[in-house]
Amino acid sequence: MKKPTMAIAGLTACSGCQLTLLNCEAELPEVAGCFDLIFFPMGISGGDECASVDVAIVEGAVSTPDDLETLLHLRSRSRFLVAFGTCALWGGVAAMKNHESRTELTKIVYHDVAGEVLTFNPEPFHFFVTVDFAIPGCPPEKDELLALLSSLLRGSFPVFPIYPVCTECRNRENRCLLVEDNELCLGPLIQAGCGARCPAAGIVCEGCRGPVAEANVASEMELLMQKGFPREEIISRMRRFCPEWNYEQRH
Amino acid sequence: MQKNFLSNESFPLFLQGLAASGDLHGPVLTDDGVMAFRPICSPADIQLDCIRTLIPPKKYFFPPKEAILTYSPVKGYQLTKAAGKKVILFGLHPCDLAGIAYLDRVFLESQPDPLFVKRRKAVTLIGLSCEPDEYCFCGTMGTAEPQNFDIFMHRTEAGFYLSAGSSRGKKIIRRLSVLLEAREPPSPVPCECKIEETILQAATRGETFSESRLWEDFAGRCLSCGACSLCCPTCYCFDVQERGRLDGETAERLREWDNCLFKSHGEVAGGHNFRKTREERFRYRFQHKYLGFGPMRGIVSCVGCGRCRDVCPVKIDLMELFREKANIL
Amino acid sequence: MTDMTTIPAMATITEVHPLSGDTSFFRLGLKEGEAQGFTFTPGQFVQLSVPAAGEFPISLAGSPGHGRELELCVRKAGHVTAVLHNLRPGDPVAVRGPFGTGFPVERMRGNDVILLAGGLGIAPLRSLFHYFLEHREEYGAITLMYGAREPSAILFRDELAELACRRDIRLMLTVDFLTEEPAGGPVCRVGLLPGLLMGIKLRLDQTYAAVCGPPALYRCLITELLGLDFPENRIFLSLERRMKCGIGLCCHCAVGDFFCCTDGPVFSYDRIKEIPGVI
Repeated sequence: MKKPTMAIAGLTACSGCQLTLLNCEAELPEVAGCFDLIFFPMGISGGDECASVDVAIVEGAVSTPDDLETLLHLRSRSRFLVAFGTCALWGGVAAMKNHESRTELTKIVYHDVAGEVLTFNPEPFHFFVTVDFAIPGCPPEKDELLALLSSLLRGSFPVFPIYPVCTECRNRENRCLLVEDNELCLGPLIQAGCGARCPAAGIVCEGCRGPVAEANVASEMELLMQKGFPREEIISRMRRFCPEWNYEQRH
Repeated sequence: MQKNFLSNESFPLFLQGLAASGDLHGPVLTDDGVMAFRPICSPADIQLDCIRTLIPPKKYFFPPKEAILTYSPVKGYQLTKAAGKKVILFGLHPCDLAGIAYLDRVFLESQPDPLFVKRRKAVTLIGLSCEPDEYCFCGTMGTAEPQNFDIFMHRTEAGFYLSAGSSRGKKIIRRLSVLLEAREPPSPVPCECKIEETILQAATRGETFSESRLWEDFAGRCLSCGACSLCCPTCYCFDVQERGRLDGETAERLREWDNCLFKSHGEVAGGHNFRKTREERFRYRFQHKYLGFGPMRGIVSCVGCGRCRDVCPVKIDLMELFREKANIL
Repeated sequence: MTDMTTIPAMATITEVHPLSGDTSFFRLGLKEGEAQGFTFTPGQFVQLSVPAAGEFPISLAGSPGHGRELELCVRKAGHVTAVLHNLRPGDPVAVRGPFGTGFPVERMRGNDVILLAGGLGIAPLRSLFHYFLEHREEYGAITLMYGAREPSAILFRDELAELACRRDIRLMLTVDFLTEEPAGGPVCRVGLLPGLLMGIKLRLDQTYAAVCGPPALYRCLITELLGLDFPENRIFLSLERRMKCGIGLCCHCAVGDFFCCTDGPVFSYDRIKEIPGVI
């Protein structure tokens, strides 16, 4: 059977998602054996950036004209485009100030040369192109990446269960930081898959994997406000990885 | 008279003796302060005053996530082999024993589940009497008459009165009889529980509280976090997923605890959802817990352990339905 | 012989051909020795495993009398069926089942039968229809009414064209929209399926109805049938639910206090009519 061809790339991001692949040390030889890596600037020098591929796995948010061009280019030459990581799927950390004036922000950072900055608000892929599959996470989980690669070998995508971090957290018999310790934990709103890594270590869920489908945002807000957290603080925490929430959403 | 009394002084030795029959597990406090069934390293770790563990003992027979089948092109699909390691599970309150009895009916009767059978056989159940708190509503719903145990230990100030519920339990008691003495057991104190009678009556008449406004209230608050069913001793809905391996040939099939309040529970291929709203999912949950489906129709599966009310972050309590109705009447 | 309830028995795809844009016909051969005496009642389903992709419930669409040979009609609807549609003859799949309660063919014996299929609902009714044809002399008048969205969505067109020539059955087809002139297919009307019932003569006390289709169709078909004074306990419907285990364990397919996978998927209307949201 012909090996599927693959491109791995990044837009505005920290490259941490791509690093997830390189961190799959035990599986890398197998991955390299079953995929034909056509283009992977972070891992392989001299790739072919024009060839068509079966799948493009791309991290980062779209925030520059170059990003957009790269994204459109990757979309048009790949059969499947995978948004890899929270930036690609939701906007991520780069987008946390999207609600503020971009002109003001660039002035604060770049002073006199702010006018020359061509960047725009960091946005997720689906604002611009059709996305075939997405893996959330900052960074994404190895297991989910490997499950994706295994499925791609068979021409399909894996199915990840849709439930919040709380589910995995309770299953691990963790102490509930929200209920027991009255901390600002976003567990009920956030898509699981991380095995509740942070709460298991006593750290609240910061929401790095983005919203779970049908998150009851309004109820979580009410609960946190009852616990004494100001609305602004809750919103600012929620925006850290995903800029746009519907704070009234219940269903 | 049979030797049936275990003094508090002999209790540590009794535990040591139990450990000879398998790995001893029981309620302990984890490092984070969570009550959980875990291996007992030292008798001092056992939490005899434990009201309830976070996750019920079902995890021993039906783990949160497990591989059920493996696939290879040569051998096709094959059942995975459950470890079946011998475990002595100590400290099961009557509600937890009742929970296990319910799961036994589900997984052992009409269509025995091979993995459940194997694990269940390997576990010896040691019951322990308890003092209910404000979340419990057990009454006779499993508790006044403990059931489904190998050994039950009725705790008093001076020690424990033991009774055997199976030949396996008898054997263990016989083996450890040097630690026991013969004493007249105290007569059981009936457990008062008003809500229990209300629940049983409602279940008998097939009450669905269809007109109640509480459904909407529940649905508006529920975070779909899954805690109520993960922590329920009798919730057993599961989801099935298959994962191919990187070799492109072999695969494994997993089953994982599911929750009727999750979006995907009533969804079919193509995206149509037969329980589209959280309110419909709540009604479904109620129906499953108190009225039962299929072969378990008519059996109240709530054992009154109080876990769901205790763990819910937004304090949703299905008992309110019964109470609301009782007030109206 | 393997226990086909818990462990999927291996089978090989022996034939695949498209029936419409998104639906294909699959013929499977169960491995010899794995499934001796495999038989079922029309309306029952199997769980079909596509290795590494997963399992999905699917009605048996062929006649029960074919032993180890199974016929299925599968629409590309989810990720598992998408992988199945990439498979070719010779590829391995696996089968658990048969599961559930099918149509009451014994009870229907000696009566007239009217089969009402909407869209993909033709699959289990094709099985029932073939069963009736194979036992033709045991049943009275046989009518098959089948509605599809448009001519190109009519499944089993060639087979239906042949059936249309038979004198001992009545075949009535309809399409919701006539987008193009059907080429070489059987004659069909334009309009919704319940419309076919209008003006039809039925011997109400000697007729059974078997219905399968999408939920919206059930609602109008039932109204139409009840309008004709069709007895509720003679209307049998096949319900679709998320049947994951097939053996009444996983609890996804509960309908009222029934499990669709064991008590159903075929129910008589009088048993389920009180259940909110059932159709």
